[in-house]
Amino acid sequence: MTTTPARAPLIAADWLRPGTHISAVGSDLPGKQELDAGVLGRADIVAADLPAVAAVNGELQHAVASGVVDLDRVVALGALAADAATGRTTEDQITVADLVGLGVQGGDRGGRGGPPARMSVP
Amino acid sequence: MPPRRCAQRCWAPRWPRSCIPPTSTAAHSAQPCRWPTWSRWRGRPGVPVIVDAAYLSFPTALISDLVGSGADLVCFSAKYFYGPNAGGFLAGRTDLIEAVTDPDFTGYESGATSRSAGRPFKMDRTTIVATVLALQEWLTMDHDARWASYGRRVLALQAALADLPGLHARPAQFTLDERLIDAAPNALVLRPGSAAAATAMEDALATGTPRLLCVREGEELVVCVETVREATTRRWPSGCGRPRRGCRERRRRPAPERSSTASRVATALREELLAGLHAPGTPMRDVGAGGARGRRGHDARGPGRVGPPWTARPRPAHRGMEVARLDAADVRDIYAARLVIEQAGLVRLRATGTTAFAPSWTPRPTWPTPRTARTAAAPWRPTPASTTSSRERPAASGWPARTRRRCSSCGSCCRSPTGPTPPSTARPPPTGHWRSRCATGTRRRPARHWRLIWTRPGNGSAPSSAPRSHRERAQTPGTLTEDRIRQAVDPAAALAAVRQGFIALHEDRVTLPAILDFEFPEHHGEAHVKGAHIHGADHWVVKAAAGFFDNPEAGLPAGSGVSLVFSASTGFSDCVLLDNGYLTDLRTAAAGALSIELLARQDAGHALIVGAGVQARLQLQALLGVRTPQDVTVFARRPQEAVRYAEEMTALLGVPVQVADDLDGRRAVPISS
Repeated sequence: MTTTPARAPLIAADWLRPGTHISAVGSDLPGKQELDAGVLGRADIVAADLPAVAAVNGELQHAVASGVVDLDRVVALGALAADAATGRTTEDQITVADLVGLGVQGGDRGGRGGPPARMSVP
Repeated sequence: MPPRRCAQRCWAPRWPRSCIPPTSTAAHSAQPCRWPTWSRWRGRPGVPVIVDAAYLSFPTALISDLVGSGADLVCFSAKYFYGPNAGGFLAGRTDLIEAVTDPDFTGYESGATSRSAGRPFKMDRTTIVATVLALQEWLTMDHDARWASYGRRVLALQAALADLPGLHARPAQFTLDERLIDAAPNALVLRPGSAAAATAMEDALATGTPRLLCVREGEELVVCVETVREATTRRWPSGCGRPRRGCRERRRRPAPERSSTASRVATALREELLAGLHAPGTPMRDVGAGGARGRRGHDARGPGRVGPPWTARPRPAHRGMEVARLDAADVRDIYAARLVIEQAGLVRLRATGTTAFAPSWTPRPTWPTPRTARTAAAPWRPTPASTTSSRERPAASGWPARTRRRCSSCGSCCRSPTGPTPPSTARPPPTGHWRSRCATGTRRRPARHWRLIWTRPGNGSAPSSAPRSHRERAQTPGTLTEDRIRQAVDPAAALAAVRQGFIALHEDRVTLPAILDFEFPEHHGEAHVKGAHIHGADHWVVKAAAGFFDNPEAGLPAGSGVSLVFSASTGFSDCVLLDNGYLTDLRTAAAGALSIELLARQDAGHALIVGAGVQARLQLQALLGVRTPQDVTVFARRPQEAVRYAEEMTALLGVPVQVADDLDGRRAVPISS
């Protein structure tokens, strides 16, 4: 789990062991980077909350720019949540989730006329 | 089709008739389920695949799952989402659905004019309205709260029976395929001790008043509570400023009984039948039934034309009922039931602003007619108005009835469900309080001209400075502070919301404009403006959040932000959430937890957190909600931050957190989470 606003890679590709999962939540602007592009290249599954945005703002910006990762290969987290895409199938796979943050998640107002109990949380 | 797991991962592999019905969030397990093997039939000409999905409408995502599964026709029963017993709906190929609707109910009974092969499509417009309403409610319902309410009822019942000697009562879940399982309860299982005692108890309950019908399971009786109503007590917030005169006393007094349109029409019908004015076989067209019997205005018109054309196609040749083999009481019951459902449906469809089923005729500005307005200033409602004022309109979409009160002077000032909500508890929120003011500014009696308004601090309590018109009120959004937001939204709620958000995004049900990014390099800061609307949601939200990473050195938190909530029906701002970035942090943590839940190994034993800020803290808390690592390691570029993080999180979460002084995996700890 990487949570820093770093602008240079913190994690190198050759550190990964089989079965590792990395969730990178730090990078949300062009220029930020926590994972070396090779980390994403080595991963068997690369997921992103919104692949198109992650390719500009997230960890994927470097990997896609350098051609290490094909954007078509990146799985949307929503597809995994809706079971429309295949997630981890073996214990040895290396998986990476690149989260840049969206404006979507959320639901409705809470009932009983009280304050909004659950809002859209961008 | 490859083996799939359902959206909620809650299915046993038995399918489709004997599968374990998914019941509650708590009962969801990670068991894989096999999607039905109908793929071998797909594509074969002349072999349509029809799924009797009956009760498979929960979790609600299952409905779209089934519809999208490739079957030609999927049939759902309405009674399993609390709709009418004879209702339901179909999804699938257009030609098949049209084929089903062709032979309709009245067609068969109308004799030679349009006799059809049978009566498979028994829904009349009453049932359609009720089915659509029930489905709308089902899709927007908080199902966790629904299950929690069953649990409350079961526990209340169990507590009430605790003193009875020899009677053992245990909560259980009675599934839709009629099994008792140990999951979120919706039933109380009574064990009186012997089969004879169980029989005696069953008989006594079935013949008592009210009659209670139980399910017999061996020596046990299963009392299902899903249709039992919880007792409610209405409480006004203290200091709410309602007019004292009659405030409490009046509300406790039951409303006087008044004859409904249905009962008046039914009485007239019964008298006509007994007088021999109708021969068996005489068609009695319900559309004009009221008018033919001396009713005027809306009463006479009746709720005849409801919905789009397909719900009530004009077929004057055989529209209506026949009196053959019906006695007067039957007619009365049928009319009463039909009118009750339609009236209730119309009132609620209007209240929720649904346009798809709006009546084709223009409603009068005052409804019903002024002639009866004194005793019936609100539409007649089917429920006995013993605890609520007859002036109150039914609450819709969670808004309390008292904010929807209608002002009889202007007739328009309080119809829209916008504006701040009154507090739901006795304690008013800190940013203002409710006062009773005349909505129209005329300050006239009677009291129904008056309604609750929101008074904000700073405006004082003088009536002149309080917002008086609906427009003013709608343009003055309420405010929620961080404390209240923290009370209302916890990590579990955030995780559920984030999951639904991602699914909605994947299903393309979201309007998601581009993100606005700001950078402030001189202060090591950044800000993002994001907004979204999930289609169908009542609100859309814009959020501005900032992260200024020099702030901690000045003793300030790095993150801050504010969210603006707007009504998706009027566009007015509805609420300002002064969350100081809490919602952003919570959302990010929940997204991280979700990604780990979906992708990380089930048996992940080691977690490495890189970074030691607020997000690192929240992420670890969220992570522990979805995985149980034996050890946690933290690395931060500022070692003292990492040490502090480790101490705090060890104390807070009870999980040993070690500090790594280097990120190189070969010398420190394995990088996995």
